[in-house]
Amino acid sequence: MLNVQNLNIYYGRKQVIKEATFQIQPGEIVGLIGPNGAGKTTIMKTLLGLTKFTGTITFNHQQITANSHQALQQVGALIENPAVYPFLSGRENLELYSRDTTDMNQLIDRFGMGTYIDEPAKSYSIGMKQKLGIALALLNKPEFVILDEPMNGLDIEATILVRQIIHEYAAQGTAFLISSHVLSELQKVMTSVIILNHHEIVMNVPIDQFKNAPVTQYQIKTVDNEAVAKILKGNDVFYRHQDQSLFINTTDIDQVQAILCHHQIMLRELVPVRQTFEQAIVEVLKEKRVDE
Amino acid sequence: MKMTFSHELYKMVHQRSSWVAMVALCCLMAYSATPTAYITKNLVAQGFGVGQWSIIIMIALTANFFTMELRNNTMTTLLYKSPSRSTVFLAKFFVLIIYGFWLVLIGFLFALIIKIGLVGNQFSWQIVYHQHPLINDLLLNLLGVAVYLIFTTALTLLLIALFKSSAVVIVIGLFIGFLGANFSGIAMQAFLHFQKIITWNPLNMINVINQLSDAGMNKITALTDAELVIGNLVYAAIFLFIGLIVFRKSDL
Repeated sequence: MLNVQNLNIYYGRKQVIKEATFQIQPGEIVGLIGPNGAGKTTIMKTLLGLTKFTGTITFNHQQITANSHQALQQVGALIENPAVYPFLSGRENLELYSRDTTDMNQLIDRFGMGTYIDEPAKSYSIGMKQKLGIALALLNKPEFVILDEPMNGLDIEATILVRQIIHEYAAQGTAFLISSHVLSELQKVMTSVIILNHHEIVMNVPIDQFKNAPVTQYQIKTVDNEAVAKILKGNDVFYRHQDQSLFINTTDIDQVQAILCHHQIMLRELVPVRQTFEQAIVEVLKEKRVDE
Repeated sequence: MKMTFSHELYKMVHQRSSWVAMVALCCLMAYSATPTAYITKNLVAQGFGVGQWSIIIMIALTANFFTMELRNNTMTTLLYKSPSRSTVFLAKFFVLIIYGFWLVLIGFLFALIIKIGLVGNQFSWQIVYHQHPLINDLLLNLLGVAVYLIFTTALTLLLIALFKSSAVVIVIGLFIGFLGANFSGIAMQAFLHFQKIITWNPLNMINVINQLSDAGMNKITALTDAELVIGNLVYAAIFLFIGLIVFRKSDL
């Protein structure tokens, strides 16, 4: 579907993206992650033929260039802020680009915008504008959607709704490229992740790679944590006391269970602790910095 | 192109400034017509300032019609939804020209109303002024305004593609549009040997507004009516071409 090969982008003499290569298949939800200034929005704008670049971008085997947008007829996007004309109503904003009234009305209903869609967009709150911006990106059943910080300004209900809608569209074959600083939110939707740091792609992997992260510690709760702490100290077992739990190294967990059994102290909780997605991302970004 | 053009037309019709501009033009014309004791044949022939006011309004409106896309973050969507950047630029140009002509038409109709309401029979439409009946003078003036609007719109679009700031473009546009003719006249007087070349300078083109109705103006412009019209259109084409190139190459 989308094929990006050796993408280089320059602002003047400064290279802002170096040799980026990646593919996105139908139904995939790809998260684009990176620190501020890494080039996420630049890549997204370039995919929309808005900046000059070297390398090739093809969508369904049709080339996209800064001056040829024919291939983008099946693409929707929300870049930076919602593209909304304040002097038009929400419906008029949608009508401007809609090719199918039924599809447009379904989107209005699905996003729950029916009560205010005919009011001028200048009276909308940030969240209402954001929903309208996402609806604009999803108009005409696009094959590929680019969303830059889609959860900005959305309340919890709207965030859950947008997540559901993204899943629904992806299930029908729409591919997504989404950037967000809210990693926990992004983690809930994406199927793979592209990590960008210092203007280049440092990782492009399925999200499962992070879900199956190895267990680093075990969190235990017992009937008497204070007593257990003393016993572990006496047995030279390293532990960390935090939030009414004890954190034990993976290598020590069998010994700890044997000690608890020996002292007839009952366990109430034993939870494997894995590296979180956020920790993993920070580590990837740190590793890259150390390499440099 | 057809789709992009209809989008631009839709926006032009729906944005409030398009309607405010019409009301503003009528108010400014009424202002020019007062006090009624000072109304002259020349003022009637010039449609109570319809030319100067519609040009000022069009410079501001053209700048706004472009920069509002940047302000509202809609330029990104507009560009990727359109076949090419050139299509967007040309669609905006043609919609602005149509609106400019519409504004002149509104101005003409309002001039007729002012004439009936404030001038009455003091100057008949049939009295001769600048070798024509007064009504023909007015129509020729408006034709000149329409031609110069093409020039102004293309120039303003070029400036906005370069500077992307309404304020800068309005100031430069008004300076070129109104003070430029004086500089052109001074230059032509100062370098008489090069008059044949200097006469084609873009600052001289504004005189098309008056010369079509007043043949005596060609002593100042040193160009025939046809040459002035062609000059305006050629300059508009040049500005449009350069504007297109700048717009295609600019980072938005």
